[in-house]
Amino acid sequence: MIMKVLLAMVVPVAGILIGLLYKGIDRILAARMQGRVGPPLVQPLRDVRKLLVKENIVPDDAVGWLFSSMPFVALVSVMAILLYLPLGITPVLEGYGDLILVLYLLIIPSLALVLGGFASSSPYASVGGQREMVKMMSYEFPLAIAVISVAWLLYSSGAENVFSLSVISGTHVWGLAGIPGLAGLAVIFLCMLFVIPGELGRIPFDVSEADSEIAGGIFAEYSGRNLALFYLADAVKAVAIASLAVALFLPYTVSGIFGLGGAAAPAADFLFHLLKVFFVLFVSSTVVRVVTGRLAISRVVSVYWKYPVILSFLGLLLIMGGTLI
Amino acid sequence: MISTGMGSWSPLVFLICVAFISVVVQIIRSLGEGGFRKEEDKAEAFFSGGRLLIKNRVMDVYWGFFDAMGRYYGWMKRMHNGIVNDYVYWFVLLVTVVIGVVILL
Repeated sequence: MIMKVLLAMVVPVAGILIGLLYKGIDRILAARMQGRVGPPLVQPLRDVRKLLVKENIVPDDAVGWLFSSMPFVALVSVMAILLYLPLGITPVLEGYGDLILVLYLLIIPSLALVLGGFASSSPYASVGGQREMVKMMSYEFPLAIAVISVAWLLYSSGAENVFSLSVISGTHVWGLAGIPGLAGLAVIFLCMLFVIPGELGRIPFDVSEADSEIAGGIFAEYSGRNLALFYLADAVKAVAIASLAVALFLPYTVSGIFGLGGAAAPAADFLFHLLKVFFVLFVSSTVVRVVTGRLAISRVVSVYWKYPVILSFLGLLLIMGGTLI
Repeated sequence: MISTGMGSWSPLVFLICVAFISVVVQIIRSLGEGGFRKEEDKAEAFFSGGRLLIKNRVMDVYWGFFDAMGRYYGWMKRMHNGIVNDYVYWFVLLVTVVIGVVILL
């Protein structure tokens, strides 16, 4: 119990540091792919420090309390998600919340962005807020189908509490599916990778901030510590969404392979989990943002509804067909 | 503890954790500058250097939602024409579809 309480204190804070570390790695890798040197690894930390010493401007016509509280809400909600996710180790709040709760919590940071944008009194931020909402409605559906598909597979294999993240991460879904199911899982994993840049608002789905079009959109009026909190929320959300993808599709550990025991086992599994998180983010976010340009908002909706939605349905059908055969 | 048979959630544990995380976030927040020096135009909403003549409807947080989904709402409004017979037709149609789906499954 004491260990759980300690982990509940450490994990959310560690999530911030890991998120910032990945932001640093992401910027270096993106720069190298573009033939640049890139900033130092600690640049995201310096960015946060810089934002904290800047003035915290609240526009005259903004709804002050809403404008200032939304960055706070965004960061608290994403840090809370980490407590329910298996980060190579058993979730800190195992048995106190499930995958459905994580899906709901993942929506809160985006809603906080939308409300913060509308409360800004800026036309740019309002346009950004609208775009964020439309984007949410685009990527939530394939994400939900991905989750349902994995739960269906577990349910048909006779597992109980199929939305429990410790059950999901303790079961290797790829071993449960037949050949059609394997194809279905591969398709759904691909859709999940497609959802991640949308969830994180990265290129080509960064329409809600789009510096060159709407001057930063939602963030147009944010500065100082409020912007720093949004920046940190974005860093932690990257860790959370990638950890969810890893828990669903790549829940493998290394402690058993190397015969580790005691404290070394969870430490090794946690480090391996981080490696998988960084890999998922590299494939789904870093590479994609380097090789593509921003899509128009209308294209974002059609791209999500045409491809990942149809593909994820196809994947679900293959998985269901595989369990019936 | 709220349990559905497929999953569970403990609101109390959730609230305790959120309270702790809120303290951590408040500490981070308090490390930053709290306000700003009032100067001319500094707190004006940015509008590409121009003055914003029409104030945005900031309190109407649903404005963007209705605006972005305008075509959908237009379609829904046209369907809700106030004629009871039409509503009954829709009801009969939907019940038929639901019964059809139930029979097929």
